[in-house]
Amino acid sequence: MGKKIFIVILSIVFLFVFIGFWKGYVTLNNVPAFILPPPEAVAQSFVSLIRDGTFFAEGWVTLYTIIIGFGIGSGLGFFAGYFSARSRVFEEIISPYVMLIQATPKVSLIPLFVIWFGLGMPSKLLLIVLSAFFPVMINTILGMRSIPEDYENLMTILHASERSRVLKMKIPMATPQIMAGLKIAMVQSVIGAIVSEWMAGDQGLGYLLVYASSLYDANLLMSAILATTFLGLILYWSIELVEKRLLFWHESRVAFTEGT
Amino acid sequence: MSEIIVDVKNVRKIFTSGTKKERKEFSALEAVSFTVSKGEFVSLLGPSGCGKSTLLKIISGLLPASSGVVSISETGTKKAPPFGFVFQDSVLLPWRTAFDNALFPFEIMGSKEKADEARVKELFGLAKLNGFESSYPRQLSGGMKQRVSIVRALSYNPPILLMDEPFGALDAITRDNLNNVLLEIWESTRKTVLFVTHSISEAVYLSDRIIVMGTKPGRVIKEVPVNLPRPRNEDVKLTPEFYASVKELRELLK
Repeated sequence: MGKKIFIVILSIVFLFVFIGFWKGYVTLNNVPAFILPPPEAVAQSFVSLIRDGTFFAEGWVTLYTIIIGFGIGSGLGFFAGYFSARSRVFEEIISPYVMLIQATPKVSLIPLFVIWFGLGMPSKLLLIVLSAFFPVMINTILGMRSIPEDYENLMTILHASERSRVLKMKIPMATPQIMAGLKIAMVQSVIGAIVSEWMAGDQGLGYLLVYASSLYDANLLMSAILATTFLGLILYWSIELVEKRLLFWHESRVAFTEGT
Repeated sequence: MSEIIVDVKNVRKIFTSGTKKERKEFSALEAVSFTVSKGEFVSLLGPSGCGKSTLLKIISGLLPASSGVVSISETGTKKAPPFGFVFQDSVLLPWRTAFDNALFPFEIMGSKEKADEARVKELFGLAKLNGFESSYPRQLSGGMKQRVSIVRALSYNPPILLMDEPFGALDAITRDNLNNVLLEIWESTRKTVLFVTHSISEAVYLSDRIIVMGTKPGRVIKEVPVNLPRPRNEDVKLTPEFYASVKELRELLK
């Protein structure tokens, strides 16, 4: 217990030391505010952007784009993974295309999407869907394939229907890997959303970043980065929360809750 | 004791491997025949590679035989199989409590089979699992998990119990304990048991009859009856008769 408090105190101290260095560096070297503003100016700008609702408006656009894109992408990824795990033929047919698309940095597709769909929602969504799809698909295959054979045998002996075999055994057994895939997919989706808003956006936090950069408004830029970080954290934590609920039985969780 | 329940006739199993050009055939079981009578405890004993687990899988319908017939004269109910199966690993669902794991078969068989909770509770008592009903598998030791798995196999009251090296992964002390638990369960339920093992003393201690199997190809070498009195307890392991049986089997397996 004493060790835990010590760690918390130390990490808070570290934060203050960091801010202190920042302040000291800016003051001592007379760094111009448009390159690196002092910490209190960034904090002030951050608070005022929350107060005037800019962050909520722009953040909301980014947030729901991510949620829709992540939902569609991971849903499709799950089904693609599920059917690939079931059928070798299906997997062999689609695997070269999967590899091809996976090897392509998704970001490089945005200019093309802009030509096809113009600026705005469709281009952004498409990139996020692609970013979320593959981690979920690959991890679903992995999860389904690593179920020990005797679990299948048990279901066969009990004359399980295909439905109950999948719902009561396969999917829960594969949940640890599927959740791992969803976590990666969420991180990728946030990156996808921000990058697509740089290039194809007319609103959203990513758009705010480029806008601030073009104005040389370092206060706005750094506040926007901070807002993006918070958005990413909130989304990642929500996935972790779901995981905690679903995988209370899994070893990785036990280590967290029962370990000291 | 004479009603035949499991009848295995001339069962062969050939596994093929390799490419189409170079097919390799491997004979896992060569014309195996034996019977098991109602209420009898029969062990399949042999070294690894003798096809004893394959044979159990064929009897349970998990694997098809290449030729030969397995007939089970008990029908079970429409949805439930006539046997319960215990695997080498406990194969419990980690997100369900011990009790819910034991009730799992009822859930799979559909609503028509009413979950017999009273029976499962009684089996928990027999397996000395009282107080662990709401524990999750990760909170249980290997031996306890395997006991839950036995309770699950018996939950729907099948007439036959098939066990595939159920204690093979446990340490010797736990294994002895589980042997005694299994004997107690068997004494009070009188199921027909077919038990696969590679432990000579375990086979002698538990069985009425031992079917000794050899390798290359997998086949039955001999059927050896065990005439030790029942009910048995650890003391029987110190008798000359026990030693004589163990010795005979050891010679056969050389």
